[in-house]
Amino acid sequence: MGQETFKYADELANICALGTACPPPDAAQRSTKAYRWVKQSISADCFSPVAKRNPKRLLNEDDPHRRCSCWGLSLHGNLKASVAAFQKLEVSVPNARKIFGGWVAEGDVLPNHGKCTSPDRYAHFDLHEYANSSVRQAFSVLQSIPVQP
Amino acid sequence: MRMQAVSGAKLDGRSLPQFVWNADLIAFDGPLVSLYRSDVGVDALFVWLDCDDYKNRWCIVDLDRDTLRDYLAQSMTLLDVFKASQSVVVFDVSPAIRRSNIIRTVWDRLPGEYLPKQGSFLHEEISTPEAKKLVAEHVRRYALKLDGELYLEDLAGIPKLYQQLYSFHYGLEHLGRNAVRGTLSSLMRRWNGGFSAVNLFTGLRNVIPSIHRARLEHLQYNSPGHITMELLPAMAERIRAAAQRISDRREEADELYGNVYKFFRTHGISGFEEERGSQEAKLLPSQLRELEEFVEQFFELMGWSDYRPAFVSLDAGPLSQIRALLAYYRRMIRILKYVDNCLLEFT
Repeated sequence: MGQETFKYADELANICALGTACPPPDAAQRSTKAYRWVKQSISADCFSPVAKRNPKRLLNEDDPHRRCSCWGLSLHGNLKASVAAFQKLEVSVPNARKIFGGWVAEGDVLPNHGKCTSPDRYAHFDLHEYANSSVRQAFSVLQSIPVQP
Repeated sequence: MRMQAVSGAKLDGRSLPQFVWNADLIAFDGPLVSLYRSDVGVDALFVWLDCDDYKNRWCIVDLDRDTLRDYLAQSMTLLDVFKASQSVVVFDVSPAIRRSNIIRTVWDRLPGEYLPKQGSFLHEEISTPEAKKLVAEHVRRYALKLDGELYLEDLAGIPKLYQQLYSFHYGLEHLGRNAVRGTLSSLMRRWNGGFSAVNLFTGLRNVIPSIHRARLEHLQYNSPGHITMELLPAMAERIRAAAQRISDRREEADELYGNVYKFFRTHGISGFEEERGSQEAKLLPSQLRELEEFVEQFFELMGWSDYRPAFVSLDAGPLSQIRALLAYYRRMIRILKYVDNCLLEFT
């Protein structure tokens, strides 16, 4: 299987068949330090896209762009942005720790892990993993996220 | 992992309205707070609440135009949106995306851990690009001037036509918004299987959140009179400019319309407003090319070079595309009759 083959390639191909590029056209290979919300003990679910997790946190994803994002992994490009976003999220979604865990893992995303969307101004981006990627092994737990006072 | 009990009235899922997705407002690895619109025209937030090993729990919070605008503009918290709601509908979603355990309750009967906290604004760090786009556009007052001898059906017809043109331009202008693009593609595709122009305009209307809809502010008719609305000024300007363009190039427009109609007749393609059965798949490559040429000519005629790339890249064939454009054109011609007869003026 070639490096350019993505995990969940069939699902991504179904989305592309609807005329929506998945991963998005701006996605590219990158080398970057990245941070992801995880549980204290990293499990397979921590690095599964929402469309694969059990239970899936979906309503009815029939929009192709939306379906595409459900096969990516959310990451931040720096620790401060990762912690700040979680704390702001938790105020609106108090049970966020049940989904995301409430710990931050740090890792190095490399070009052979997949394609990353362009980071937004808050350093958030999505990673669409390659089929042979081992991005989960590249991450280790760094710290717990304090509850916003 | 267990979920807390929610007290309230059990509902049959069939008693809930149908909801059309408009945009995700907060999303990390999938949606957490999303904006929907019900088939009765009410905006609602779908907010993720909880999960156990098998199900996710969401709630539906109705909100009015002002509340939505204030939440998007970060001048109101999600907690205050809950407090402003008449009721909250809680439901569980199975792995097969089926809703169950549907309960109608009120915000202050929800378990404390389900309620957003003080300061639960739609912060920039957590809001999606789509949420940011929604709040970046502001409605303004706009008036259509009325004059001369109008009948009751005219007073009903003019706003309806205007609303359809507004929906169409909103669709073209917002093809970057996933819900709009998906809806327009889907409506045009389904048209092949037997849909109508009316459904196209209605479907587009359903992906316009209340903060962007044309809302009636004042209606006065005493020759002269006016219909004053609150709407997105860019859409009003697009309608005015399109009307002017067609007026200026009427002969060319009629010729193009006639040529398409002739092509349809020659090739046994019937029905402008309604279509039964799929015809696109049966068309030859040469026929598809000719239809693509008509689409191209229409965009040129209207001077819509900025709309064109996104429109032609929609997941719909050239037959659906030209039908949608001509449905728009017919409505524009109908409203122009009022303008030509000095009964209506775009300001």
